[in-house]
Amino acid sequence: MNFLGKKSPLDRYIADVKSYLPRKNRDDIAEELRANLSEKLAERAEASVIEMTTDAQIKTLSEFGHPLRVAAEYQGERRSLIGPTLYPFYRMSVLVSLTVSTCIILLLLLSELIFRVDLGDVSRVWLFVNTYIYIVGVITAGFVLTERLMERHKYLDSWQPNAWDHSNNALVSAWGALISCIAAVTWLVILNLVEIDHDLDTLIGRNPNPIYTLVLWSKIQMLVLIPQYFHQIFNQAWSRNRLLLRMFSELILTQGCVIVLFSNAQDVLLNYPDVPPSMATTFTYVLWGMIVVTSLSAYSYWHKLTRIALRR
Amino acid sequence: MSEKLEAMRLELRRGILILAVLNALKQEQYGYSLRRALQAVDIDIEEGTLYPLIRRLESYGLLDSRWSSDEGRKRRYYQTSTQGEETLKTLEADWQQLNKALAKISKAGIK
Repeated sequence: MNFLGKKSPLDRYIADVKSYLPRKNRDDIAEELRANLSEKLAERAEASVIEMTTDAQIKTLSEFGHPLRVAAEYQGERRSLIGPTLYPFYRMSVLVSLTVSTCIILLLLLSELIFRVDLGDVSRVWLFVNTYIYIVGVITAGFVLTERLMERHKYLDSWQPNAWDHSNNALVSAWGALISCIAAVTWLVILNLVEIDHDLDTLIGRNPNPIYTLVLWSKIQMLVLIPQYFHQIFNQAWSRNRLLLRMFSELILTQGCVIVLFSNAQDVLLNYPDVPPSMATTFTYVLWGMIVVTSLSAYSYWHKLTRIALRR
Repeated sequence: MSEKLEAMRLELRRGILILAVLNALKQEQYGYSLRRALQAVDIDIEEGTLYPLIRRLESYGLLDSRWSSDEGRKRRYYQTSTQGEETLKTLEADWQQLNKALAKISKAGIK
């Protein structure tokens, strides 16, 4: 059985290159690339007399270059956000900021948890500022590390099509994954602004404030989702493991909403006496809506999983 | 050292690639045929570099292009435009000058 499914190696290669290109001219470049590579494969096939095997085609395409590199070449001259002149200063700034941020966060945690010193608003403001500094620093460090690892393991020196066919849907592209990653990180930062107790009572809905329970479950979902989005930037294939993890991520939030709904949803008015009573009903409807949406989303991943299993 | 030497050789080849492509495309060609034409004169450049370069030159207005279905195959043909020919003349003049300068250095060294 052709493990690539219905698509030829050339189709898969073109799809991979296309996924790394910006929307403008993407189709035109893909069509031209297909024409040139078809000629190359045809010439190789003539030279070898016998019909080229799938592996031989993959080898030929791999010699052309990894799709990520090819797409980078099509995007013009080397661009960087920060050029070589200022790069050493940028690197120093990130390192210093990260070090200072880490020290301040550790100090704040120590002072509150161990020494029980309540720094009040000072603590909150510093946490807010430091979280943003930290996120920028971690993202920068993440990309630097990724690039080093890719160079060291010669990740871009060859190409192999992924074992599972990935969707040609333009939405599932490297840029979409990057945007999702940034959105998820931003949402996590916003959730962190709500001061909650990260304990079992909050998790199982015994906290007097149901919003806190929802926030905690949302945080857990983001912590599971963010690495997946980051990985998807470099590998867009929908593997079995990725589908399972996505389904699991949706079920995390479903679980949280169910817990809030059946434990302490009505207590929302006790915590926010200034809001009108109808808000409690609205809150309940919102929870039901979230349960439906996340359940349907989890089911869609499950459905994709079963389709892949049947294809095998 | 061999890796660095290879990198320097690649940089030298890349430097003359635009000249070679603009010259070769005085005759209309498509991507793959251009590569074979360059290979025939011992200019071996990776296809992953050549095809994007052609598109860039086209975006600068130095090449004209058209799609055509020849022998049942869809191909994109390129040819040096009027602006491309003018640019080529300037680049060739620079190249001649550099060649002369290099020849002088090789013979007599820098004083």
